[in-house]
Amino acid sequence: MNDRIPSQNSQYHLEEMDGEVLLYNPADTKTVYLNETSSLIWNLCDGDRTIETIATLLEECFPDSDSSITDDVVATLEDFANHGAIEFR
Amino acid sequence: MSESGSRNIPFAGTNVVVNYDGPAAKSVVDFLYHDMPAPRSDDDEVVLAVASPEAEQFTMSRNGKELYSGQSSGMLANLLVGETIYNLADRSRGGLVFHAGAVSWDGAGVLLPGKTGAGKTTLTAWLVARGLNYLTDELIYIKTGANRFDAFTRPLNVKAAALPLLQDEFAIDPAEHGSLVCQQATLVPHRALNAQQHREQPLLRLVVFPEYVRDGYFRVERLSAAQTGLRLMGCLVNARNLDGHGFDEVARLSRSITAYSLQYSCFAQIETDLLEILNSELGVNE
Repeated sequence: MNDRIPSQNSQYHLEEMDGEVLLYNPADTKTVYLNETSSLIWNLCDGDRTIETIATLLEECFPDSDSSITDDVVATLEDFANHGAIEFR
Repeated sequence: MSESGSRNIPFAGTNVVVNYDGPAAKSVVDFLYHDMPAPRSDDDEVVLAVASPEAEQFTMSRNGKELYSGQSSGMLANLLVGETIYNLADRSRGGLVFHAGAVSWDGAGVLLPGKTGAGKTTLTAWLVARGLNYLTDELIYIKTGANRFDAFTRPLNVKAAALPLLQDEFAIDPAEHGSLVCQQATLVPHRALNAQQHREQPLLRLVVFPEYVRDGYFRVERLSAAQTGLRLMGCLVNARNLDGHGFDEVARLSRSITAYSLQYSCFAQIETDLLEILNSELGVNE
């Protein structure tokens, strides 16, 4: 499951604002707001990294995090996918 | 004075022409568009026509197609202003048109964007009653690249559900102030709340997204630029006419302004916090 590779939907227009991101898809006029954590995950979706790789990178960045980073990453990516902002392969 | 004629309503780079015929029809047009400039315009235009061929009988048409025939001046006014706004927003291409209330203070503008029922008119009325300059309770336009905005100024369109709240707070008597009433809403002249209104194109400084929640909690929250952009996109009414659906322009604007969300259920809740925000951002002192 965590060996899936998320890649960004290139149709989305992106604006970075103070660490947060706003995505807009002209095809369906959806706007998606990403807070700082979600923005970080979004930026790691380069089409090469697996979910597991992304989670590992974030665990290294936030070693003191109490919650399960992998679960949070999966939930965030599922949310992206539901908005059509990423695709898994 | 002639009882038939034509009135230009130029706004957002487009134009609606309202032809009127009959004293009662002219009276409705004057009531609605008293504060709008009426220069001749070469912009593309839509033609609306209102007529009162006999006392207490009204008709309205768009480009020759009949839209209303009846006896209610209030219904005619509501339909006419709604049709005007729809056509202006639908055809505007040179900038962002937002569904928003707006007031100004000393050349600085405050937007109150929100969808129908968010409490735009109610909050706008509250601010106007406190001395801020009324601009609109419905529609504003920001030309591409600009930071000043223009407003579609009309009488306050108070929904039936909100009228008791405004009557309690401001002792507004619709009959006394020459309001036009229909089942859906009452059009209240904004000068009933503040006689000092003047037309201007203020610099956009502050955005407050109102959310009226009956019996709800009070909550005010400073928004980040991205949160502001998300909400503004939801209130942009002419996106399909713009390059990239106006997303880049909304992002530019969102970076340049201060924004808050405001959830409220009564005026007593907002008295302190909102005035504090207005004071710190605009220097408004009650």
